[in-house]
Parts: sequence; structure tokens; C-alpha cells
Amino acid sequence: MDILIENGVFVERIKGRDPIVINAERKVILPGGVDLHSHFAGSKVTLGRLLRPEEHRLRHQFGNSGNHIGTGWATPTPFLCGYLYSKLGYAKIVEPAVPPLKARHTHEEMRGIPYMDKMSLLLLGNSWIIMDLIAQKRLKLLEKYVLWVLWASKTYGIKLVAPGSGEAWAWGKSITHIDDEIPNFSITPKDIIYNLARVNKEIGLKTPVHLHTNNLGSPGNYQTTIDSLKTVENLGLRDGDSPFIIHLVHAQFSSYKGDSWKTFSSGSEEVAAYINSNSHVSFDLGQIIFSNTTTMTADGAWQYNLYRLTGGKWINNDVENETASGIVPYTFKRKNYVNAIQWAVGLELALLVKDPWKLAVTTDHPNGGVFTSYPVIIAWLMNKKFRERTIEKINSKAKHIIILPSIDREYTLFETVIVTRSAPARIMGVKDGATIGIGKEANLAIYDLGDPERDLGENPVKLIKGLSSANYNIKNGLIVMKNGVPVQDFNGVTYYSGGVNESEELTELVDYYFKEYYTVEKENYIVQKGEVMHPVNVLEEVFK
Amino acid sequence: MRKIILTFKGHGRPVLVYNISPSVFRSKSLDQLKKLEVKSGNKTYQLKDFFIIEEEEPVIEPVETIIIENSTFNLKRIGEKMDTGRIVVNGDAGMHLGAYMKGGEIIVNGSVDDWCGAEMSGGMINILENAGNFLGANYIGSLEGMRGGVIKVEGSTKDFTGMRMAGGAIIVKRNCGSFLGYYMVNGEITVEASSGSETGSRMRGGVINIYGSAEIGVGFKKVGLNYITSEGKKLTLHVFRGDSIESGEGEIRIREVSK
Repeated sequence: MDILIENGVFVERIKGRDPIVINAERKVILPGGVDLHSHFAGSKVTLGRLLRPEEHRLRHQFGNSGNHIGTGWATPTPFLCGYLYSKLGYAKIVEPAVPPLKARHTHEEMRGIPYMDKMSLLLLGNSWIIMDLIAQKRLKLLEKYVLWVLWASKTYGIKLVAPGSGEAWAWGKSITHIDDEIPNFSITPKDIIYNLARVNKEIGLKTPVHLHTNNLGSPGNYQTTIDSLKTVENLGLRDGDSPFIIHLVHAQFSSYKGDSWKTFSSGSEEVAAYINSNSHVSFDLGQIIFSNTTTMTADGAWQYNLYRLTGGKWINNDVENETASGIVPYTFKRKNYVNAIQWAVGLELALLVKDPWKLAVTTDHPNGGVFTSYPVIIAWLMNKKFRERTIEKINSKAKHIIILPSIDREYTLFETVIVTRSAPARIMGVKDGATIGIGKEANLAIYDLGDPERDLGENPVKLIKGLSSANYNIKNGLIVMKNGVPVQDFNGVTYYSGGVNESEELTELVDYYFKEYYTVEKENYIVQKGEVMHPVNVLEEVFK
Repeated sequence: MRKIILTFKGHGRPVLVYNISPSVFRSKSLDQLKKLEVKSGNKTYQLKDFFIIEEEEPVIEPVETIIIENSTFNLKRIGEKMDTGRIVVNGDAGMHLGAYMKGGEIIVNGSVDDWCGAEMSGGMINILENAGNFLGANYIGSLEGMRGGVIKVEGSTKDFTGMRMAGGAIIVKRNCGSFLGYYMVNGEITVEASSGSETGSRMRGGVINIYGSAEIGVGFKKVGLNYITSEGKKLTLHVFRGDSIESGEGEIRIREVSK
């Protein structure tokens, strides 16, 4: 069977002469991968690079073969990041935490990432403007403002990080329940989740609201997670490719039981049962890998707690009236009781949720581990024996508590393709970019996984080796990577949403906040199209 | 024992020779050795471009000794990550000599530049003249410097000797610069002459012996006296504990506190 590509799309018949022929006999051909949650660009990644020069000694790339140099393990420099993703066979990546004020910085970095199509999600969960509008019940204006701020920052969707908790933490308080009132705003995290999910549906964004739950990482947080998901149950499903109303990011960090670190245990059964019985939720794993990494999130309160556990170096950052963030280096250890359970929770979630279309494989790069470890997760999912081999090495107390050993399910190759490609592409609303079909974008990765007639999960070492380095990565019909070596320069597009709404009410609102609270002018705040690499708006530009 | 003699032809610019190490050479043939990667500027060269390579007793067995003749400060990263064997450097050696070293021995018949023995965890480095800054230190960002092994300097060293040192021993026969044993966690540093200002600053553990004078911070409290014999001479050392800024348990034994 032949797959024909011309002018960047799959075609039935080629018109041009002398096409390039690739012999992919006995190889595995997959659509280009989609990573819907990976912190690869932006101001906090740069701060992470500054905080941890030692991490950059772990991986070097010298510019010998005409490519750019780069360094970094958990926070690779932009060029290296593009090369590494391309080597893995990926085509589209999503930066899931952009503070509106730092959008320009993020785009500057994303311009430097070759080969990939990029999307970014805007942090709105702690924004004063959003919280004020919800408190004042000006919900029509909220829709207009969300569209405007997405357009102004050239970002793709909405991300809520522990709604309200960053704001409370800035006042030295903490929010432990989604019904707690946020200081000075007389609303609760629940209001933010509900209203933004509703706005998201009304204005027709291509992807659901991405939710990083409150109490993330704390023992006993699975109840908060389920409560947060229940909040939006009655909104119904969305139209379009992605029917989900809410996307639970790095679900592993939100599915714990117990009341302290000593009684810490897995809440994956409850969360998976909720997701199985409801159709409005999609999620990604946030699987941890036993290694050293640099954790970074907009959840400043949680990062402060993590710093108190590790006692090492850390950074916390407050982005004016918009959001906060924190960076803490961390090592996940096999012999650590909590880490061992965290490792099991991620895999349990992936194996207990029946519909692979609801989930995407991620490590919440770099929080759970680096994205180059994805093949290892695939091997764990596809091979029970390989899981058992890792279970043998983990903390002995944790070994007897986790339910992972009792799960017999093994993913088929087809299911792994769904969880690394089709499902994330569908959740992000870019399904056409990860489909092999006539007229669709020609993104392909060709892998050598050994004898395709045999069960590919049988030999995990070979599987990991094969998936770690694609023989070919074809992006928009061009061969960009060959056996892990860059072949030619190519820059993908940057998708964004939003539009300008010509309304006096909105102008008045925005001008007021810029005059009273921001340190920058509105004109300098708006990211111009020229600052974005190949911008593509997926919505209408101007609304009436 | 197989012995390789490398004669440096000289080069105006720094050359990265991280491949000069018995662990890399092992049982490679002379032809293979000639093709080993060497970097300078933004280009990659081969070992034969910069060195005349000679072999003594070409028997098929692992390389035991490497001798570098005409060495200068431009040869960087000699013996990086080596874990066995012996390197003799005739002349000066550049930065990062024996960095990340795990075992074996390096002898330098001359001086070395900065970062000598940085983050090493075993083995022995013997320097017959002076050493630069950051001897046995940690690289920027890492939390631990030298973790094991011994560094002996017959001459003097500059600043930040033994920074964040976490094990092993450093012996300096002549003077040291400032910030000796900065953030030191464990291990022992002996300076047989004097040291500069901020000695043992932010020290958390380990021992610093100074047979001359040094300036120490206010975070150190005197706890007693120590009598030792060094090269036939009897010395009385004042023992200080600190640095209290870090609630440290480090010990500085010093003959004379300079103000």
C-alpha cells in the first residue's frame, strides 16, 4: 500500500514528477504525535533554566550537522526542544500555562521551536478581571473579555490553575475546598470553574477548559477533583470535534486518598469510575517517571509546600493581578513511599478508564518527568510483565497498597496510537492534523519496532528504543527528521483563538484595569500578529 | 604496561581534550587513537591534528599510562570522567583537569587552571606547582562539589578552593585565596600556610586545618585548642565551630586569626 503526499496533504494521485520514495516496508507508520500538556516555553521555563544550570550539563547537542546547538534535560532550549519532539515523532505541542502578561515572551520562545505546530493555553483562574466580572454577574461582558484577552495574547484556550488559590495564597491564606470564598472577591473556585466552562462553550472555543484542580498534590484531593468535575455536569456537551466540557490536566496529581503523607494512598479507582460514568470529562495522565526533574506550575501555593518538603532551592513568582507561579527541583525516587504510589496512580488511571478517546499520555513535562520518557509509559501500558518488573523495585510498603498489580489490561498498539495522537488531537480540536486521510495535513512518523507480525508489546526494550527515535518524521509533507538527525529547517504554525469585540463596555472595562492595576499600557500588552510564528486564528477575528 | 606518549604540537586557541583519559583509550589501537574526537572553537578535529602519538610496549592490553608532553594552559578537560589508569602531564594543564574523576591518578609537573578536580568522587590528583580558582569545587548549580579522592597541591591555590566540598581531602602546601571551603559540607582541607578572607564561610560540616593565619567570619565560635605535629614542628591550633549562619557543625583549626 502506498501513502501519497503532495503540497503538504495526503492525496489520491500525485501530479508532480519524480516524487521522493520512502520504503517503509515492515515499519510502523503513525500520524504525527500530539502533546497536549507540556511546559516547554515561557517565562517560568526560562526561570527554571536559570535556577538549574546543573540540569543543562545532562544533555548537550553540538551544532555539527548544520543544526542549532542546545542544552537541557527537563527544560531544553527552544531549538533542542523542537528537535527532541521531532525525534520522538511528534507534530503538535501545547504550552498549557501562559500568563497573559507573559504571552509575548512565550511567543518569542515558541518562534524558536522548529518543526512543531504550537498552541498555548491562557491562565485565567486567578485573574482579578475575571473574578470581578463573575462577582458582579456581568456574564455577557465576561464572554467578550475572554475573547478579547485570548486574541490579545494570541493563545488558544483557557486554563484554570487551582482557581482562586493563587490569589488567596498571595494574602497568606489557603483555599482547601472549592466552596471556600476567595479573599476580597466574594466568589468561590466553583463559580470560576462553572462560569468559564460555560463561557468556553458559548464562544465556541475548539478545546474544553483545562482544569488543574485545587489541592493538587495533597493527600485526599480526589474528592475535590470529583467535586470540581461535578460542577460542570449540567452544562451538557459541546459541539464540534471535542465534545468534552472540561479537561482534567495531569489527573495523576489530583487522585490521591488519605489524610496525611503517612496514610497517602491511591484514589484512582474513584476518579476513573467517575470518568467512566460521565461523558463530559477528558483527562491527561501526568505520569511520573523516576528521575530528577524541575517542577514548574502556576500553582504557587503548592510549589511553596513542595519547597518546604524538599528544603532546596526554589522560585516563586507573582504576575501582577493575573496569576502566580513556582519552580522547585525534585527527584522522584522508587524507594520513596509517596513517589511509588504516585507512579502507580498514573498507570492505574490509564488502565482503569475504559475509553482511550478520553485520555492523553503526558508526563506534565517537566513536572512528572521529561517528555522523552513517553515511550517508557507506552511500554508500561502495553506490557504487564514490564510493569511488574518496575513494581518489584519500588517501595515495599507501597507495593502492597497499590491496585496496579491486580490490573491485567494491556494496551494494544492501536490504543496507544489513540492516547498519544488521535485523542489529544481531538481534545484540542485539531483532529485533522493527526489523521491519515485524503486531504488531511500530512504529518507522519515512521518507526522501526521490529517484526510487525508479532505482538509489539512483547519486547519492551525494543519498543522503547524504536519509539524513542523515529526513522522519519514528516511534517506538512516535508521530511524534517531522519533517524534523529534534522534534515531541513521548517517552522510550524501557531494556532490561536479569540477576536476583537467592538463594544464600548469592554473598552471601558479593559481601560479601567490598565489604568488602575497594570504596570503596562494596553497597547504594549497586545501581542501583534507579526510577533507570532505563522499565526492561524481558528475563530472569527471580529465579532459584532 | 602499555604507555601512550602524546606530544602537543601547540595551538593558539583552547582545545577540548576530554577524550585523553585511560578510560577512553583502553585497548584502542594506535589508528583508532589518532581518530579520537577533539574540539576547538566551533570545529571538531582528530587527536592526531594536535598531538604526535607514540606508543611504548604495544601489547594488546589496556592503556595504563598516558604522558602528555609540552602541555599548556590551552589543553582543557584532560582526564575528565576518568576512572582508572594514570595521566602524567609535563607542563601546565588547562581548566577542568580531572573533573568528575572517579578513580586513577593524575600528576601535573606544572600548574593547573580553574576547576581542577571539580565534582570528582575518587582518585588522586597531584599538582607540583600552583592551582587556580575552584579547586575541587562544584559546578554552578550543583549542590555538592568534590565527594571523594585526594587533591595535593605543592604550590598555592586561588579563590573558592573546596567550594561545597562533600568528601575526600585537599592538601595545599602554600597559601590559599579567599572563600576557602565555602559552603563546605564534609571532608577535610589542610592548608600548610595561610588563607585569605572569608575562610569557611557558610560551612556546614567538615574540617579545615590552617597552619598559618586566616581571616574568619563572626559566625564561628572558639571551642578549644588542638595540638598537632607537622613536619617535626609542634603547632597549637585554635579550634572554631560554625558557621552559625547555616547552623553549621564545621570545624576550622587555625594557628593564628588575622584581623
